[in-house]
Amino acid sequence: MVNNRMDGSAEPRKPEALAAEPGGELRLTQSPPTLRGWADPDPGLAEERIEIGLDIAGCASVILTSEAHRDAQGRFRITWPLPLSLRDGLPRQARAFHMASGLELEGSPLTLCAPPPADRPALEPSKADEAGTGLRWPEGLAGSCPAPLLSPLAEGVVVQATSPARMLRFELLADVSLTSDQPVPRRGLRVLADEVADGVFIHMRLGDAVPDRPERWLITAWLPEATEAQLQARFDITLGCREAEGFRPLRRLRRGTLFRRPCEHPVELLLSADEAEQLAAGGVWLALHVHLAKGLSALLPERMPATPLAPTPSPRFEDVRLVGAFAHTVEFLRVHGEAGAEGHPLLPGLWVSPQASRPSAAGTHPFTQIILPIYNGNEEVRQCLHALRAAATGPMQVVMVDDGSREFTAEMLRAEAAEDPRFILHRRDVNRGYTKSINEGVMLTGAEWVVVLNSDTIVPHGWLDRLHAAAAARPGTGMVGALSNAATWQSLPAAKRPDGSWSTNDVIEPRHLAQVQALLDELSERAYPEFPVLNGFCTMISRRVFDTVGLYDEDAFPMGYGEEVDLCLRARRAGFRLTLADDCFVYHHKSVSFGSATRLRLSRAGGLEMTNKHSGVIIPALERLMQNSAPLGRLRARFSDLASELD
Amino acid sequence: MANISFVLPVGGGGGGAHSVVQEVNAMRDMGIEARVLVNQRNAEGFRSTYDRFPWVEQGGMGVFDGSKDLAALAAEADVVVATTNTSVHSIAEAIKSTRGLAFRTGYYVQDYEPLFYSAGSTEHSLAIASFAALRDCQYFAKTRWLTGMVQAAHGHAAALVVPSIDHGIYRPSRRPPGALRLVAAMVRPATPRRAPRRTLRMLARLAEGEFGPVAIVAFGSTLEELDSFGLVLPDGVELAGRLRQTEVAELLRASDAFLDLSDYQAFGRTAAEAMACGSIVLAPALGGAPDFITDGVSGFLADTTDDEAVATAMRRMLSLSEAELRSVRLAALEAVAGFTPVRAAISELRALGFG
Repeated sequence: MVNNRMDGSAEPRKPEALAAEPGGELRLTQSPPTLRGWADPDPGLAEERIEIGLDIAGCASVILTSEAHRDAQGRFRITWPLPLSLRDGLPRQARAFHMASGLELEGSPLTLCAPPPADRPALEPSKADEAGTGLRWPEGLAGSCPAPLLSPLAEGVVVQATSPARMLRFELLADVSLTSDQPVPRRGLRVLADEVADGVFIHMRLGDAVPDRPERWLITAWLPEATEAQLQARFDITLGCREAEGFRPLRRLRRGTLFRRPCEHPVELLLSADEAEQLAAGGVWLALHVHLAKGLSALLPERMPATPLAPTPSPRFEDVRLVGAFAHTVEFLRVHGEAGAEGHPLLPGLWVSPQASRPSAAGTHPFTQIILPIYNGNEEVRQCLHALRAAATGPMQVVMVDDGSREFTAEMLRAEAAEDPRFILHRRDVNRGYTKSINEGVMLTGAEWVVVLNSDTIVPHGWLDRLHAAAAARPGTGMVGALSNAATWQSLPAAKRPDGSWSTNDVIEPRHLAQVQALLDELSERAYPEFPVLNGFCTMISRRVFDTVGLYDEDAFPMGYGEEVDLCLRARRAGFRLTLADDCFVYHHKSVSFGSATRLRLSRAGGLEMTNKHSGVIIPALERLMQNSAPLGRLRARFSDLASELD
Repeated sequence: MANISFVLPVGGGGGGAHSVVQEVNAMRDMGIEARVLVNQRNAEGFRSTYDRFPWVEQGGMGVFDGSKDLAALAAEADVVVATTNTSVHSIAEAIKSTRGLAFRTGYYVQDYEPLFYSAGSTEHSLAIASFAALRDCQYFAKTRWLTGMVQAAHGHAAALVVPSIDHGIYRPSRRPPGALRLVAAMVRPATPRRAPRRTLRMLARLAEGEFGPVAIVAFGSTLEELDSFGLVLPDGVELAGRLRQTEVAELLRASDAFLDLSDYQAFGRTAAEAMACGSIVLAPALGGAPDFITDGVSGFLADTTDDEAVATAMRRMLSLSEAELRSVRLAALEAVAGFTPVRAAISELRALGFG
């Protein structure tokens, strides 16, 4: 049984008309409370087991996997004991459906309601508990639990939130690191409430804390969701004593501030004899308590050496902290200045130059894989695919990532893939959002260069040659963008309309593409200007960028709206140049995936995440750099009378 | 009349705080309604440190306890100026806690504070966030290195203002002829970026006679403090202990040379004060000291992170003839002579759009 991620992005496919509809039924039985039932296999699929989706109101979706053996009638049996988190006496509506077809089962929606078990494991010490904190997760690696109750999620991990929060969603975290050079992935926990709570608590047991000598523990914690720009929240770390009813605070160890980004909070622990006695039975617990926040994320406490290690002497500075602090400053200088610069007069000798690009193969551009995320759409997608085929001048492959499009689009994509071996289709039945799509695409590819391309674009002949020429022209380039009619600061002829909104330059129509590209071939200076961020509609990215800074951030930007700017900033901080191919024009329909209200909400959420994730980076300052790009200014001047030149 | 409030959440006594207080004093003399806002915790210390300024007791000092208090005080000002990263956050909270506040904001960047903390720590995050917490904030700083850092790292234009030192205390005096040259150095074991180990290491070489016969005085800490940090005072070095401002000035006036071997110096206040006392200084090349020290002309600069570069600079400095020494001393006095509170105040007023 696997729960979906807690962002709630798992949307079941709408039921479609099928030739033979698979049936099924689920009912709740008590003593012990268990969801039992059966389901027919999908006639179109030879499945060894089938999966049933369960959308529970106020909780994350759950996927139930059937037993492997069929009964006498050829049906799969499903049994799901209700987890403790749902056994709180509260009725919840749940919708059960076939994962493959989206068809609802009989009895759905059903009401899940079960009393708390008489033998609900009280919060009492147990010998089994003594084993590693956070090692076993009997409630699942993600799920939800009622906020006001103390909910044990894993060994030595208990969560709770005060009013007005009603539900808490939780998720196991792994491999979160503050710096890329941390060798061992650490486990952690993300807890997100349905509303901003007065207090969100994570209680964690400190494995084998020793009473009579000072110990230093490192707590890494952050806020799981941005609700405002420059988000901060008050944060306490308290030593606690475990009792049957819950936890009794003994004393506060540290008071601090939490941000959206992970920060380290070291605590020193020296137990008095009294405390040692009180804690002897229940173990030593730390309560992480964030005030007025929507949630709390934290890594499991890490024991630090008992006495601080003598800091590794820096060959340069006596204050060893300056090594990391200056390196961090260098990242900011790269973002706001020239990412690929070899140094800076303000920080002589403090620069680690980025690696130079590898030389590309002579004759043709290197093998390039194009990641094309697709969600529904018809004519524009078809146009995009045909243009890609016609535009190819060298080795390339198109990876179509179908993010649960409706059957009509899916069929069209299958047909396109069947027609040309260079087009491969990766489809999943459930829409999981744009950012996950492109990340899946990146993970499916292996070429040195990939292009993340929107499916409402039309590329011109030889476009990859031009993008690669830009990459080669500026050593150290990690990402390359193109010009377009609708790509914010990369738009031609105008970036903005007179009213200040982004221009889509409607004077250029798809049929004009070859003509505009021909004009550009003639007029472009091929200055290949360095940009601080690139519009995500068409970006060629070096594999080294992903290897160095990681994939797109699905956590902060699940639906897009900021993921490309975030990757650009991370790449620049790492010293990669972002180069604009000012001789390549890619047409962009700029079709709208969401309604204006949703778009506004997502855009605001993305903006908040951005200001929190890259605090200290001033986006308007970056916009000024793009606005002041001299080569683009000249190009725009040359294109000012474009309307009269187009047929 | 312009009304400017500087948020200074410190007890006073430090060089940076002292210069802000002097500049506020100069502004008030010029008829500007300048005030210092101090948090409750530091109010008493601040009052006793600066009781010589009558305005401290006459409405020139405001005390706040929390963001609401600060908002109420700030509401009376045209501009509220932060002087540390924590004061930026206090002002941001005050703005958030009260709607419709009409004051403008400024940040007098005294040091690039993210360098004070380990990357990844809460304090480091707060220091970084201080450059994004105030909208339409006017940044200003007293060295080109600082204005450059604010511009290059965060994209904010920052105005260059004139630094100030207290010429009433830091002034030259006649030196006794023929005496052994005296080298002074500050050793602050609790502040690693001030490089106490490097300083003691170089003082030991100095005491061994590597650079010629000199008398050496270290100040800024006691023997017990050195001991608690595992530091040993080299033979031949006199330790003057922790000194009051006037005692520091007296020592600098008697010194022929002053060494600041910090990892970097955003400004280099003590070096500037030593120059105002007629001492010849060696300061780090990384940071703001090059603004007022021309290497070999008005003092000496070195890559302080390289012992041999420091040794070379010390050798140059201590091998000057009397005539060369006089020439460098005059250039040093001239270089900092303009660092007056009045000029500093005027430059700040201009940076803030007054005049």
